[in-house]
Amino acid sequence: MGALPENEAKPVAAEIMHTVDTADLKGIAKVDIDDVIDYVHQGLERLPDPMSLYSLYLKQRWNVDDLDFSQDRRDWNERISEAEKQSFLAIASGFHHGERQVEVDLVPFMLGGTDEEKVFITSQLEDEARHTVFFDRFYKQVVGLEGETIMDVLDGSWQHVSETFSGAFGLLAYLGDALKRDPEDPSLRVRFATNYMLWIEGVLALSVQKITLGYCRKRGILPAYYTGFNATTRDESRHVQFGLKILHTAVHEDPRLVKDVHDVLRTLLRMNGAVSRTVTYEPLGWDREGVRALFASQLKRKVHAIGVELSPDLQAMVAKMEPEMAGG
Amino acid sequence: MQQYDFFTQQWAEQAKAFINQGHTAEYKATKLQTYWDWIDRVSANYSGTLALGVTHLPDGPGLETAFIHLTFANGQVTGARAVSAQEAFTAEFVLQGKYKEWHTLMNGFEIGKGIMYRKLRLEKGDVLEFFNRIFFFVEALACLPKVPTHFPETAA
Repeated sequence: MGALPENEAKPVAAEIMHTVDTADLKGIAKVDIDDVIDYVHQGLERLPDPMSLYSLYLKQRWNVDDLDFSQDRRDWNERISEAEKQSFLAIASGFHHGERQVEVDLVPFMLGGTDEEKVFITSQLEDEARHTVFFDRFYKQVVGLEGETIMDVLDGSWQHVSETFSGAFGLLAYLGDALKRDPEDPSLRVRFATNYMLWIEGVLALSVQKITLGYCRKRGILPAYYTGFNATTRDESRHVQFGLKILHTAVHEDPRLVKDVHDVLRTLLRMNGAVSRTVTYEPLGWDREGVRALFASQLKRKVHAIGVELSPDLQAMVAKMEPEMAGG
Repeated sequence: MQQYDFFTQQWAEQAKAFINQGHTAEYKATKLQTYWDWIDRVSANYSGTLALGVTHLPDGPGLETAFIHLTFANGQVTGARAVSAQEAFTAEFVLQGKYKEWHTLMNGFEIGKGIMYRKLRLEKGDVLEFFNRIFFFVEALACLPKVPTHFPETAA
């Protein structure tokens, strides 16, 4: 099962780092998801500037139309049990909807950024749009959902998403609305980045990616899903590093903003206690304790990266996190 | 069955009654008890005010608005009034949406999803404070479609 040690980023061999950094779509298909996640965390030690991340984007951008889902379709129909499908969909559907939400909710954050940050965020918007198309293709061509529009397909997978998904993502929409009214407000920017880049991308997304991609790699199934989602994980590394750089800078320039980080995490962790349906992880090779430890580890690493300590009440809430977060 | 004109005083009183009545056991069974326990916990000591606003009502050139003001004490609605915009914005939270969005929500569109899709927007109030009780508000609003409602003619 999947309990991970709570530790700092382990040293990544330079050769592996280079492979993750430079692989094209065919190359990323062969990379272990654990190495991509280590790549994310190694980047957190440096927190590159926005223009360096933009250059990385230009180098790492991939074409969703290059993926062929025909083998995935055969795997889905012939090699995956019903229990595995239900667990997989319960987790992946959160990502299907999450990609759409982070695509449409990112714009307010761009409005108040520096010119360099605006340049990077345009690349992130393109990433998120591509990820949305990736999941749209997966659900239509592999799972077999029908629909003429992206929203039709999203509506089709909503049945697999927990009602409480709208907690973190509704919060994102409303924090975005608040930011639209005053895009340069430091407190609002910190609140938004804490929810978006630290929590949704840095904790939820990376955890889900590890669970579903680890399952695919271990079983040797869903090759196009693995390839596209592994490339997505590498894309997320740029987003998380960008967001944490902004948070790191903000809280060091004005330590009062640590309160905003804490307040957002407190609200997110409070909402996490409202579990409306159970997600079963065992068919994918994980147990609840393993998922809980994974979430806690991801959160602690991200908070550490921005130079913030969790307050005692937050530490207590983290210890009691429910693993259903992976489903939203 | 008597129907109540949308967002009128009589409709507000019906809204109060249905929110306080809560959901049926059949509805509650669709979600885990932990979810309802969470709502009970956050609502037990909640006293505050929430105003609901509807804009772009169809009975006019498209800019008419209406508001109702709900007062909560220990999680129960103790007051419900149709009010002016000015009075609505004295509430702790103001949730507002266009008539066509309200119409969709009143016809069964999931409230939480509607919030995420901005069918309703928080026009006033601390966002984090609102989300600290989000599922309480979601389930309170999910009672509103039970009000027998007479809607204005189709929105433009």
